[in-house]
Amino acid sequence: MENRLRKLKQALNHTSFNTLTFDQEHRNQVMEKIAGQDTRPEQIRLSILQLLVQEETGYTLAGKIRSRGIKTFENDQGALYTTLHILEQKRCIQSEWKEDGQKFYQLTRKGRKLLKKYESSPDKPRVLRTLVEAGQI
Amino acid sequence: MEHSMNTSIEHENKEAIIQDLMENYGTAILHLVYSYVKDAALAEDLTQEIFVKSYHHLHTYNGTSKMTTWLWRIAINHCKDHLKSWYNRKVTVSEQEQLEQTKDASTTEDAVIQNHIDHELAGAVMDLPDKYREVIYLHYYEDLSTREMADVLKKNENTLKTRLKRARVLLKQRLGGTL
Repeated sequence: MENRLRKLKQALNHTSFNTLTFDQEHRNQVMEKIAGQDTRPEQIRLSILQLLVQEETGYTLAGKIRSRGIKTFENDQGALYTTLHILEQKRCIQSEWKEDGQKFYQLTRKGRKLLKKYESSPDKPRVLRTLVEAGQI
Repeated sequence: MEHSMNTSIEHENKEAIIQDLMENYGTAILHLVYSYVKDAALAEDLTQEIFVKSYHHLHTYNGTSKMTTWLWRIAINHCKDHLKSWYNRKVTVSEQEQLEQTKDASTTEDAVIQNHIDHELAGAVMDLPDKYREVIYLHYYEDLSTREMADVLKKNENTLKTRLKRARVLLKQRLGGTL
């Protein structure tokens, strides 16, 4: 039996495991799940930038942040506006008052560039840090 | 299974570590999970959950054991939790068919024979009761010694030796004269 079991590796690799590979797509899905659950400030700011590729009011943005599983602003809506203000000062986003009295937020060109840089960067944590460090990016 | 890590894991390194673990051991973990649940789609889901879990539990890695031992332990516990769960006990999946289907696919005579031998052994191992399949898999597929298995499974080494012995007897009975 011992001799035969030595061939178990080959046997399983040729049969049950033949088509079982953990590929890039699987890995990406894991990283997305992790990002969705991550509530570190830089991750939250990244989420905000990702959501602001289209125009949002603070209210609609808060809803979308919540649906990403981020509960940070649940009981502290004010903190969201503080964060938006900081991102605006970093010139990653811009705001505009519309005629109906609603304030809309959207990415600036700089914000877009930063997102692109994040997506293609091999050192993502470093790009993220620029979002929480003081001063301009 | 060789992999060593610094004891202090910085927050921003966590993602990089998980990426690294997935690239190096993703498929191995997937195979390990499959050996427990015997369902490909489910194994993929559970493997993803295992890496998400590892990310959140990175701080529990204390640097004394190998990173892989730590990862294997999380994976095995996750599989066992699933097997114990309500969902698993109430919902049955038919994996057997898949094994049967692939049995016919072959071209040359040699391949047919080799294929048959492989299928017979793989099938017999996969059909073992959970606790025996576990030790056979870890020992003969993952090349873990009984000492290492004792560490990963948190069981007495002698218990595992006995299980291995018993598992081999079971396999011998099943595979009969083809040894």
